[in-house]
Amino acid sequence: MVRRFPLFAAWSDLSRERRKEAISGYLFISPWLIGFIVFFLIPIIASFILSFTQWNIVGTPTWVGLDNYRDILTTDTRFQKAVQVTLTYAAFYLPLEVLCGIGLALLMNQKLRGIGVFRTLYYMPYVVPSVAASLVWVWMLNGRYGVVNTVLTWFGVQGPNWLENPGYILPSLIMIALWGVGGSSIIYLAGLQNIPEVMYEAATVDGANRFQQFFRITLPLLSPTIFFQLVLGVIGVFQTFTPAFIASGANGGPLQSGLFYMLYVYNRGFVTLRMGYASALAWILTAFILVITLMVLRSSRYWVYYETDRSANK
Amino acid sequence: MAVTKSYEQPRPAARPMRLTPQQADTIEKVLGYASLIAVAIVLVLPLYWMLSTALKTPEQTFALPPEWIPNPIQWDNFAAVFREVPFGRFILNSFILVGLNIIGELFAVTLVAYGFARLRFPGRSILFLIMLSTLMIPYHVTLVPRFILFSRIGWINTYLPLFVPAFAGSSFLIFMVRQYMMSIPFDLDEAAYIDGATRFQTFWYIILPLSRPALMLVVVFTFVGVWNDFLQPLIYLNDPNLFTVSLGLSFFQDVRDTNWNLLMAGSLMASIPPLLLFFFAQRQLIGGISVEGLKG
Amino acid sequence: MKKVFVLLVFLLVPFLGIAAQDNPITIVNWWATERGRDTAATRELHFQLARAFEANHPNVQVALSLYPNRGFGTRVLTAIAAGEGPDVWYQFYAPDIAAQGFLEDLTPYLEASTVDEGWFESARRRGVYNGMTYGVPRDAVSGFIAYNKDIFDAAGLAYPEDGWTVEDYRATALALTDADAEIYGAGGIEGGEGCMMWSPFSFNLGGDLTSEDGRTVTGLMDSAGTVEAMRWCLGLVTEDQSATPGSMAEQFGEVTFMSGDVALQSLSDWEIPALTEQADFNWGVVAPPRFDENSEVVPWADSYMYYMWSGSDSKDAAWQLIEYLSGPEAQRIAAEAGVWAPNSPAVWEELGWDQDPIKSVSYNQLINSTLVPNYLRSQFFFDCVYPALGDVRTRWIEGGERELEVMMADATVQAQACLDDGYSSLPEGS
Repeated sequence: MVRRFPLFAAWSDLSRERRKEAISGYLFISPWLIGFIVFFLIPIIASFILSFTQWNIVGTPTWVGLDNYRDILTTDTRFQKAVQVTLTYAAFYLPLEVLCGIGLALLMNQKLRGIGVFRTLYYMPYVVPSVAASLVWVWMLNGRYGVVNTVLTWFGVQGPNWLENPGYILPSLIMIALWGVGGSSIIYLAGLQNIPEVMYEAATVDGANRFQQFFRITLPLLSPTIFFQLVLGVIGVFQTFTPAFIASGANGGPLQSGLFYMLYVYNRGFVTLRMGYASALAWILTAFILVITLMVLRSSRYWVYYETDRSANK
Repeated sequence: MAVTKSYEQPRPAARPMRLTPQQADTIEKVLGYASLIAVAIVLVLPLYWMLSTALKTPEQTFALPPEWIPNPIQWDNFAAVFREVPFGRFILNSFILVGLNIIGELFAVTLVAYGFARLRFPGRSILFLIMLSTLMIPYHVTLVPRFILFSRIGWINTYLPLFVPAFAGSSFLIFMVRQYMMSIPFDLDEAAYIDGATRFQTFWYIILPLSRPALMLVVVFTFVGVWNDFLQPLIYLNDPNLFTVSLGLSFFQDVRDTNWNLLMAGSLMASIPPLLLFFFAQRQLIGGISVEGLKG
Repeated sequence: MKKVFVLLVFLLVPFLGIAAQDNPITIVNWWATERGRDTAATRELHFQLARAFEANHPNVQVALSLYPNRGFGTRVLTAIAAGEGPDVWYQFYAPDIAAQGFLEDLTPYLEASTVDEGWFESARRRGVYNGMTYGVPRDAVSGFIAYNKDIFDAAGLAYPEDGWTVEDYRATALALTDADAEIYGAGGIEGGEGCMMWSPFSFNLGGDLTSEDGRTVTGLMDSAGTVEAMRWCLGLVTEDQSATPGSMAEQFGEVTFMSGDVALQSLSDWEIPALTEQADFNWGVVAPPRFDENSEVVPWADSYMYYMWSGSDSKDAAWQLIEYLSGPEAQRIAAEAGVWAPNSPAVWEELGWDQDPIKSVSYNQLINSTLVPNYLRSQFFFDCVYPALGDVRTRWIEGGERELEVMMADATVQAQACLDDGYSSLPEGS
């Protein structure tokens, strides 16, 4: 990645043609640029500055310097717990999301009659208002009367008290999250549809079987989509909130085993009215997500295959 | 039976006996449907439970152990939702908001994604990263500053904060469309350029039509996102006549006093528009567009 | 100097005269919430009250907004942060929330008020912090035990009566629990919280959780009495197994009683309207059990409170509204609509509720109630003490641990550290 600093030196290096291209570029992205400056920049800077203050939302902030950050990183046991819970969840959920997302997309990609109905059914969980959905899941996961345990008894298994038992909170939440995977599956589906039929036909003629076709054709051509989902997945998984809020409650569930990081941020900000502290927590999270995302972005050149290859691409 | 000659039809692996192509086809179809149905059952079960609850009275809901099939069925709950709150008006409001957002997103996302995907300019990577970074900041801590910002410009209690930012483009959607656009061969751009087309003409006549599946995704995701958004309407709208469906549903919730039956009934009804949209949008999504061919 | 002052006053008088003649209308923003059920009745009541108030106060208009309960707290906070808060609203804060600075001190208004409020003592105290009043009661409810007469009849047991003890309760619950028939003896226990906190048991089990100012749990939460109380509560869940399943009871709250499968349930007046309307079995209510034969019942009572924003532009008018809403006339209207229970004994008596077989049970609790419930004494209770108790519950029920003294001691240390941390974050002078 060619360093773009300083911009002016880079600008003077460009040919006239490339300068015209650059100006077009800026023009095309101007809606986002303007919107960002007007609607995002100020709140973002504000929340960053607020992370160095103590602020109860309803009053005026008082400057505390690095106190928030210091407390978080040294003495805050709940922070440590939140980090542990969120990382564990992410480590299990992300691979599962990719696998199930692709798997479901493959199912949805079949050329069968009525496939449209099935696709819609698979997509529906994503569309249902998440509060109602989370509440239904809380019922379904009830240790005594929930549907999940009832079904398990048909197989002779005694299910646990899913949402009461510290060891089973995360599996419960992974289940709930995977239930809504239809949302990302349709993105994979679009990617799958984008792979030309002729490739499969040619491969079949050459004697490749299903598995080979999947690993040699489907996956590579799907890699831009997987990359996209992975980046967004990373960004999103660390910010899981609503299902955790409904399932674990505002305090993070039994023995805080469901204390997701965002729950903790919400708790500090809106429940105990310590928004400065919450902002510091948020910015630590942001920095972390940024680092991970950069790692994924950097790694992309090794495994993401763009059918078009142009040196200016990332 | 592992030998595969290039002139043989592909057949399911490891079968002890030869099948005719028709038989193989049928088995494939059966397996296909079986897997579809199996997954469907798992995914739909919670939805069934929602429906079941939506059709019960409160006493039936709390019966221990819970009943699978309500008896008698309380169809009136769906009508009750409209009686208890002005649900019809909320639906209308949500449609208005969604429409405005879709227009905004389609406008902004296509332009910006094209810029990031097809054009080179200094600072492109940094700006792209910044754009992505806006997704990384937990919204709870920008909520209040944003609210104060909109309050200063007098946009509180209007729809403005809820759709004008859409005309800047959502980072998530820009990213998605950009990825899609990057899978379109650059030869097309170059061919157009040689033919004397401006960047915008290339964008409008070539890239945009080829990006239809991605645009459909933009529509679908924007719809769902705006339709189900709760937090933003919550803080920006004070006049109940402006409320959206998501706010309307929250009228049925309480700390310990939730009206389960109406909440489920309302939520199911609220799921229908996005679902219908998706069902009809599928055709666009499965365009099966081949990007191999070069246009003249 | 004095001459200038007098001159200025003379110059101002004509302006004052004009102002007095114009009689500008002040608008008071009142934000209220609707409960999940019976939205129509509640909504109607609010408008009725607003109109009744305006009829008596021609210079004031009430801009009433009804919001869903969910997210209401966030709505109020963000509005106040932007300087656009409501003038009047009701909420469920602990009194020391006043330390955050967004509530107006109502003490001067109260002292100047000519209306004789005469609230129940616990309802009044609910709004007092550091000797000053920040909140005014909207209603007053107390806790008692509702029982399912049909279940008692089927088992041939006599109904519970005033003066029964906690052990009587336990024995009765155990006797009536029938696992095969899915009948539970004790509802509203939920493995500890529904027993130690928001329930008629909370003061009648021999121990308290927090100090009166809510800041200290050391010495209270880990005291022998409290440990035994917790053991009693948890015993109902694991040893007797007479308590309704925890997570469902938590979600549905008091309404598990409505299923008709619960023999005894802790309730408050807030649940009576729905019970009256929807129960399809025979039921009665009885005073809470006392700790033992030598003790008196210590009532548990609670209220929602009206608050005024400290940044309001129309404080005087807002006070008039608050004064009206918490006064006898508005209280009677609300009670007759069946929505809120009145906040003063006078109105209860006026309505004859002190004689009514069902309502007198609550009335007798209310007139003797003085304590603020433990979960309302500190704004950090739900962040600090409640999860600590929850941890004890989880360790006991899910983890099978039985060293309750140790567990409560751990919880106390955890809760106290959290409380101290919270209070150190308050603005100066709290």
